[in-house]
Amino acid sequence: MARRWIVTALGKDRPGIVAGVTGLLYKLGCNLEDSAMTRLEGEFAIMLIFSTPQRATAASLAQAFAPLQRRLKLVIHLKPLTKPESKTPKPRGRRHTISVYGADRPGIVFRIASFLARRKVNITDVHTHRSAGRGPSLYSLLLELELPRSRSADALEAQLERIAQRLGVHVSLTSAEPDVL
Amino acid sequence: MAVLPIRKFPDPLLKSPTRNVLKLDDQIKRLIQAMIATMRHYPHCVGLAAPQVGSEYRIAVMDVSGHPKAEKPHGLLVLINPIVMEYGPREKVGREGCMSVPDFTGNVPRAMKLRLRAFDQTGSPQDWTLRGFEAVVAQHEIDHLDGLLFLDRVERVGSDVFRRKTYR
Repeated sequence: MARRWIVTALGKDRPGIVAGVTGLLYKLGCNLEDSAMTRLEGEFAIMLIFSTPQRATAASLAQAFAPLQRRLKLVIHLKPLTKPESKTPKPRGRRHTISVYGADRPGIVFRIASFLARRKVNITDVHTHRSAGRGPSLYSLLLELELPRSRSADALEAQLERIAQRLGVHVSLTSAEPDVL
Repeated sequence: MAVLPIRKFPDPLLKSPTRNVLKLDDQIKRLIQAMIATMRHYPHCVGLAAPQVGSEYRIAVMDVSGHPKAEKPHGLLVLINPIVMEYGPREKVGREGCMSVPDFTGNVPRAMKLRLRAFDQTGSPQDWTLRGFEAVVAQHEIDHLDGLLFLDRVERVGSDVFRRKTYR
């Protein structure tokens, strides 16, 4: 039994997926909160946090989603959020963006991400894109991270540059702290 | 000087164009002093536009001195009936937040140079050339006077709008 849930829905892209999922939640009296929905090649993916008007069970929600799942051929996963999971996470440092691009080759994301993980730098957002044209493909990676205050951005960028050099790609680290104007 | 409460979106005043000040009377002077006091009250605040404090007049105050991104700032600027005479050719994208849109930040392209004409707090017409961060702040504040928020300026919602929730 929970009041807040996260749902993921995956399926072949077609018109009506967003309307289907949000329409169902609307009819159930749920409130949509944060979401990310995007198309990767031909697949459409939804990640969405919602709250229910009363405490709900996984079984009752799964039942409510079943017709939609069949109609749009979606793979749906529902996870209840406990009270502690519902808490807004505390920032673990200053927000920065890393941009990497270069000729596609295996290991770009892994090398950058494992370097950050070893330094306990938390990644909060990742977008990657591979060009699909003819000829050598270009890979681009954009990720957002929280840089602990104990770490210097300049030192981190210098280390990232050494990794990028070995991978034959370009890297830059920029501050993404907002200015309140 | 009392600190004025900050209006937050969806307050309709934030989406309405302002009207020009016709006379720099005591009421307007008091409003300007209160806007300066309000701006100074918030530690990271570098600019404030009249609609943010509930006024429909075309007035903004700003001061970027002391901000790490400011180069050769002018100090306190009071802009009455400002108009942009010229935008510089170079644009840069920066992440902006706004006290009137507390939960979000967004990537906004802004001109790096701005030529402005406005009346100052004594009522004299002035031409200012602002550069870098100071130019960005002026564009953000003048947008407020035209009923525009930074959310009107983001190009792609997918990667340009971010929740600021984790920052509080």
